[in-house]
Amino acid sequence: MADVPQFVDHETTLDTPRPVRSTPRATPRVMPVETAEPRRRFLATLDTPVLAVTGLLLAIGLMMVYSTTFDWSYQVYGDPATIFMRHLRNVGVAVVFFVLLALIDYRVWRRVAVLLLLLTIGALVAVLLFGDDTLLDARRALVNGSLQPGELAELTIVIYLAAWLGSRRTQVRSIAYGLIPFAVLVGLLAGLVLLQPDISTAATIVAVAGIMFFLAGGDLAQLGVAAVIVGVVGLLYITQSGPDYAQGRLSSYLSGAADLTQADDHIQQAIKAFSNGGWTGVGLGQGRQKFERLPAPHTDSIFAVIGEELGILGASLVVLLYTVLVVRGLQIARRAPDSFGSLLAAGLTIWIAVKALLNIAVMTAIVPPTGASLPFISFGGSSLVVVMAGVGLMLSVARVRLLQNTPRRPVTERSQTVANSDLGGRHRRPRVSGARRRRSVNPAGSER
Amino acid sequence: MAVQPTLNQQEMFNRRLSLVVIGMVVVSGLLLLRMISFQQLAPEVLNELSPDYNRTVRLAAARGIIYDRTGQRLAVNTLEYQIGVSPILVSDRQRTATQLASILNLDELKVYEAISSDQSWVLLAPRVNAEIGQQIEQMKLDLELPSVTIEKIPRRSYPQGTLAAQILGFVGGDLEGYYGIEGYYQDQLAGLSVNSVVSSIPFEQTDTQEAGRGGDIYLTIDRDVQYLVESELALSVAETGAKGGSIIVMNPRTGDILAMASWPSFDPNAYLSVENQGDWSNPAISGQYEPGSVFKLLTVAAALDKGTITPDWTYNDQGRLPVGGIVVENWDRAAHGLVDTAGVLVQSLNVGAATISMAMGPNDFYNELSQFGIGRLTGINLEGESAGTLYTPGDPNWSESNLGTNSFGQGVAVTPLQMITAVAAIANDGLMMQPNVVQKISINGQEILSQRVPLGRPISAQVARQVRDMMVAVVRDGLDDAAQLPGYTVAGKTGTAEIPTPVGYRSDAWIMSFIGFLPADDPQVIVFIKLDEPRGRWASQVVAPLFRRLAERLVILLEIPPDDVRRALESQGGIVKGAVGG
Repeated sequence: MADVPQFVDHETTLDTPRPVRSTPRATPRVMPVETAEPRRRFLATLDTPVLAVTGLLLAIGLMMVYSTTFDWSYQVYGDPATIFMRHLRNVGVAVVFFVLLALIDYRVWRRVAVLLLLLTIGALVAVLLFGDDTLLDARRALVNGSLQPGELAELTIVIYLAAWLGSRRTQVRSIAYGLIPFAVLVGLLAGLVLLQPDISTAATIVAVAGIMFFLAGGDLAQLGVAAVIVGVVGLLYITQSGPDYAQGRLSSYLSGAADLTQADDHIQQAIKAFSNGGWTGVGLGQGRQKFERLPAPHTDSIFAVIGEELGILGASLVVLLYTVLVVRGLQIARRAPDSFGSLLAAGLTIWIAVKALLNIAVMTAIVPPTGASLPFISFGGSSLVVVMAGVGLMLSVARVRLLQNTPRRPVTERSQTVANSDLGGRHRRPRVSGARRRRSVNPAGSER
Repeated sequence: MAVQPTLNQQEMFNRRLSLVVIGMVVVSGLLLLRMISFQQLAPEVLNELSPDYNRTVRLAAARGIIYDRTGQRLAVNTLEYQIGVSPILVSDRQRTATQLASILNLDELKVYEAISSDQSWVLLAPRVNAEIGQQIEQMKLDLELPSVTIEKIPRRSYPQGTLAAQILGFVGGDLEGYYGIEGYYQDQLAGLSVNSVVSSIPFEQTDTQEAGRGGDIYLTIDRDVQYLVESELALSVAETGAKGGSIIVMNPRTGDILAMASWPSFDPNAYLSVENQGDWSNPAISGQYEPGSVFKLLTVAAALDKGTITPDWTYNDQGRLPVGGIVVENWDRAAHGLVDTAGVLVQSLNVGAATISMAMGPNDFYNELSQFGIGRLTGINLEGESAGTLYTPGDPNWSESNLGTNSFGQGVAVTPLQMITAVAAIANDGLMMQPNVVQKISINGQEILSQRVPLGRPISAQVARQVRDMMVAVVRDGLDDAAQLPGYTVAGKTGTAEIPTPVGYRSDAWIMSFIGFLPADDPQVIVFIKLDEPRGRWASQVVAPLFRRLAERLVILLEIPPDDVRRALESQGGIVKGAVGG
């Protein structure tokens, strides 16, 4: 390794995706002393569209959170900006996580995926045992409501499934080695989340995991059967043993589907907000539905406030931004250096998309009401941090690929790097991967 | 060999990825279309959805104060504080619980559980006094506890406690008055409340108007007399083991009620803590009972007024008189021989009273009773008065025997207020005044004085004096001086009424009452005492002495001089008026 910074840019310790093996296991990959030069280069290595979309969505979030909280904040704290400042702080923390995860070579996560999974399961069990039951009827948070392991579970399942499915290869199609372990794992996490109970998070986990299984090559017939089973079990859960509010929401959804005036009050208020907004909106901050009408206007209902204040055009812009993120994220997945990266980037993208679509679908009375946050925009620390961490991971995949493709590097060296990486990964990844037939193949290579 | 399936997988991944992208974009497009569809909602659907951002808040005016006749406050307004907490905003449960528990004097664990609950808001203390409320306010400010909510609640307070509770009534949680003065004068006391439109949009707040203040009410009730009456009643109930009782003190000249009490009563400050909500009502105006022999006063007065009898009238008492299929007997089941009009009252002879009513005939008898207000509301300015029950000919419940039994107060139900109002006509030279508890109402500096309303003149002044003299004889000759007050001439009549049940009259308990006024020649105060089921057999033995004990103190409080002092002063040209005069 060259450690002469002024000479070889691409082989500085900072920017070169070194073989994972070369990092001593006990020592985390730390950032070296930075100069102004590498920092600029770091920014340049990030995927510009994703960066721009994320920044725009965060900015819209800042505007909307202030718009929806100033009155409440003023009434409770005597200062219209108190809650907004809290959101700003959350954004700051989320950006730190975003940068960290973009910096760290995503392949590290394959090795710690099992540990991450165990930690998440531990946190989910802890929240059931000692959680604060401040939210509705549910125990969802730890440490005075500031940590919601459910959000972490969503990210964990994406990382773990990317590692697991990436190593399963054709076994994915096998029921015994593919579908059943997959179903057990997803069922365990979703089940723990359902116990809180948090139906929307559980549904997100199941949906994202299902799509990742599909992408990884899952058998369509198996998936179809699994989807039917999940649907039936989910319906039974909600109608038979789920929390009372879930049944009420479902029945009001069913009556509201036929006649909007019979829908849940929450949804009626959201529809009214869209109707108020028209095409161009009533103007930023001018919305009326956010005052005592829409519940949780700064989190779950924030999209309806966007619809009212910024109109169809503003709401379309938000949807468009998510679409750009999805298209670009899946492009990153397609071009990822390895199958773990592909599945990881795809899973993260789908996860964010599912969250956004679920929230918007609830607000437009397509899906029964459930408390889903709108990624990047809703107020809420856990959700924001986890989503931003996910985007950071996604960018790490793109960045590793970009750095590998730099023309100055000899092809042999690159393939050597990748090979080392995979080899090391295999040896140091005790439980994640099953039998791997191939020795070292860069799945992205087929594209080039 | 190893490469081939991998490549397939990669291809499959790419193909399926495209499907996912297309799926996501299609779903996004559908959601957008759905949003756009909301722009084309039918107006009626939109109206149904349309929320009203304005809501009307009623701002209650400060309720008027209630004073007694001397200006003592009987009902005032105070502020209380309702303390609650929003658990979701609590940052430090332990500390918040400790602080709140110590100030509110609650169990710390209970507070902790309350603020750890999953409710959006928890009521900690529904009502704490202003001192504690201000402490909480200070604590909220000092420790920055946005979770603690403090709401000021206007509260009606009755500084005299249980005093005159049944006259005053109370103000409920809805700030509406119930029973008594609070109920009857709800509109005047409440004043003009203002309906203020409040918008949920902070930019669209409208100015709120100031609500007008309610009117103050000055009662005819005298706090000291009321207190005397209530303590006498409580003592009498305790001594006789009665189940209940009522005392009314009234000025017969004006109809002003000086005191009115019933037992059991309640504390209007804690009106919800009564065991029986019936205690809220005022039995003195709503409780019907069969009056018994007191009613003979009305029978005799009516017959004298109609000319059916004269004071010199006599009859031969044989101890039994068949009337409409039943037989009327005297209280002692004895024959009393030749008895005159006064003797009917002095010896309280049922046969005599029935003889008189039979001689009057139903028309005249019931016509006269009606003029005395029997079976009709007196119209007192208190909520909850009842009219009693008097069956008259033509009513399916009336039979000829009623004519006989009604004459001595059986088969007819009256309220204590009706009874004292009717007898007060005898005291007031035949003019029956409407009972009244309000002296004046002061609204916005304007004073509205109560008008003294005559309810009618059931009997002539001459008849009134004749009956009055007979009542003096009753106290003097019939009651062995049990009701006699030394130095005063007292007119009165007892009643020992049987208690009707669906299967006849009870033979083990009676309602005993006494009505008396003094001084007999210039009545200034009339007193009604009734005890329900006291120990003892006759009102003359049980209630008459209670009247005496009450009257002894009453004449001092009301500054009614003894007869000789009064006459001496009158002969000197001085006009002596007691506190209740005029």
